[in-house]
Amino acid sequence: MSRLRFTCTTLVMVLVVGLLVQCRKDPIKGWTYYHAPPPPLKIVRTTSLIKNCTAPYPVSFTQQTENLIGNVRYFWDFGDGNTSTDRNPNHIYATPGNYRVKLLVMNEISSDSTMFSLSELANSSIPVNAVFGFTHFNNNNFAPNKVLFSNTSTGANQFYWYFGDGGESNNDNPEHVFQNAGSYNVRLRGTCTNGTFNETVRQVFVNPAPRRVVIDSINLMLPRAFQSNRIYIEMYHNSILIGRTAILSRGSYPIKFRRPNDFLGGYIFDFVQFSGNEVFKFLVLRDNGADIPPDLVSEILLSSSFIQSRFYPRQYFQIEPIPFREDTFIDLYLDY
Amino acid sequence: MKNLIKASVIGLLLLLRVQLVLAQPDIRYLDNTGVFKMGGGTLTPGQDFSKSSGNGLHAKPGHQVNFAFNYIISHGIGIGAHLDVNRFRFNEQSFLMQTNPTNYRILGKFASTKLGLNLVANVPIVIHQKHFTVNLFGEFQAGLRGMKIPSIDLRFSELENKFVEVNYRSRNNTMGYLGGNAGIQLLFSNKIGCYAAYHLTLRSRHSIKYSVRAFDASGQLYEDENYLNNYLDATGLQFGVFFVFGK
Repeated sequence: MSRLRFTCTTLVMVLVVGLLVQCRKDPIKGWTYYHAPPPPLKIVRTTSLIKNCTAPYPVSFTQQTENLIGNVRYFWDFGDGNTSTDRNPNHIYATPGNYRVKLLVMNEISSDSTMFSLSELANSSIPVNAVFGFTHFNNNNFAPNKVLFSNTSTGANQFYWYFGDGGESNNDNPEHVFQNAGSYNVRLRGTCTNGTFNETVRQVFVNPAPRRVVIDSINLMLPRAFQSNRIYIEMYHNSILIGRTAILSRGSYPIKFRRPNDFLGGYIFDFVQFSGNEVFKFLVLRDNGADIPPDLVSEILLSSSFIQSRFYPRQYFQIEPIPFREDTFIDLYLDY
Repeated sequence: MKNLIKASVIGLLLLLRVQLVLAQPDIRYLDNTGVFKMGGGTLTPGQDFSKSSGNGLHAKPGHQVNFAFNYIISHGIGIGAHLDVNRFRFNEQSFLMQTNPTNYRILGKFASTKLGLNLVANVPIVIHQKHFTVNLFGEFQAGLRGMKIPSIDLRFSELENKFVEVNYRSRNNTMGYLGGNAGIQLLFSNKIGCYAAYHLTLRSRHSIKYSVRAFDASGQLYEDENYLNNYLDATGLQFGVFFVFGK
């Protein structure tokens, strides 16, 4: 009798378990094929810089077009009977006049066009106006700092740059590396062929080298051989263990270690001497359980001089790819 | 010589007939024994699982490997546990017709591992008390199963698709299932035997999660979490051997 009761209880238990776990209510859905039409070309910006104050007028045309796919062709009509198929052409207007410029951009699937007027050329002389902008390389201003200057002056065809740290250049659009922190007065002088000139000054601030590195996240994609493994990363600063990540599995493909929850015991490398050659080491390890030492999957070395020489990029892509294996990919996201 | 062969055949038939006449169902014959069976066989996905268009999952027939242990408690009824490894081939051709990539790489199959409990009923027919028994059995199964999709990498022309690279990878999926086997077992010397059975995984809907990484022509990354949801029923034939303990 007791056996029969046991059998019945087991039957009910099995039925309940089976029925409970299959009560999913998601709608019926097959594969999503991720097909979408390619985006059409779109001209988002055109610029024209007149590089003299009297005729003849050299003009530099630039355009910015989005969704550049396929075989992209450009057709410029300068409005004086001349045309060009260059991407960013230069053209010389021999005489003053009111010119209308047309740009047509085409590829195999779409085209876009725009039209603009060069009304300044209607006058017999154009004032010299020195104008420039700048951006910090990698969007940071830590020393050493590379600055990219963009010259948007009109009416001038010769340029002199004084960077304020002793450096000079006469390129149209120079780059300059400020080695030390400080505030620099950058001066641009634009000169026309008749000697007329104009100057402008802008300040560039460069911050001291950062004192710390913050690891925002690490994306890790491993070969299929590690598909079922539990993976974590140990982080060292000058051979001293700073902390480690949580243990994640391939189920969170690609494995994403994100601040703060996935970084245990410290994720900030503090008091980093960027003038020295401090080494950040990341060991990708396979967890083998409590009593068995982990296996080393990959080792990433990142020195402070390496970071400094590349002007502190936020993302280090595929720092240490494992050769001859598929699906290996490591992205390291840093903040300073 | 011909007569000798004829006489032998007739003799054997007579002996078998006598044995069959003596054969009788003994529902308690296997009580208090343990049965371990191992086998494999074919596997055919159900209609929606194998559908190659619309909401289909593009599964093709595959194979199964099974292990089970049952303890017969009383009146031929017993309980046990099973471990099944199922593989369904992936219908690459129909999938590629839907996606139309310029280049592709597909690794693996629909891979499922099932772990669950059995409720088994036996009707042993004893042909010879010590040497030969025919057992008709039915097994009801319930448990958990994992299911993974193949790893799929597709490349597209930038002029045909916004996404020039699409990578599908499986997430871990666990779901419940109900199923069963029914078949015949031939038991020799009350110790070892062979069996053939029809397997059925019942029709029920489940979700299979997967992740997608897609890149457009400018290298912009799009990440997505997605799932398949459909009826994952299957049928198949099993063949194998089994061992009886405690008889």
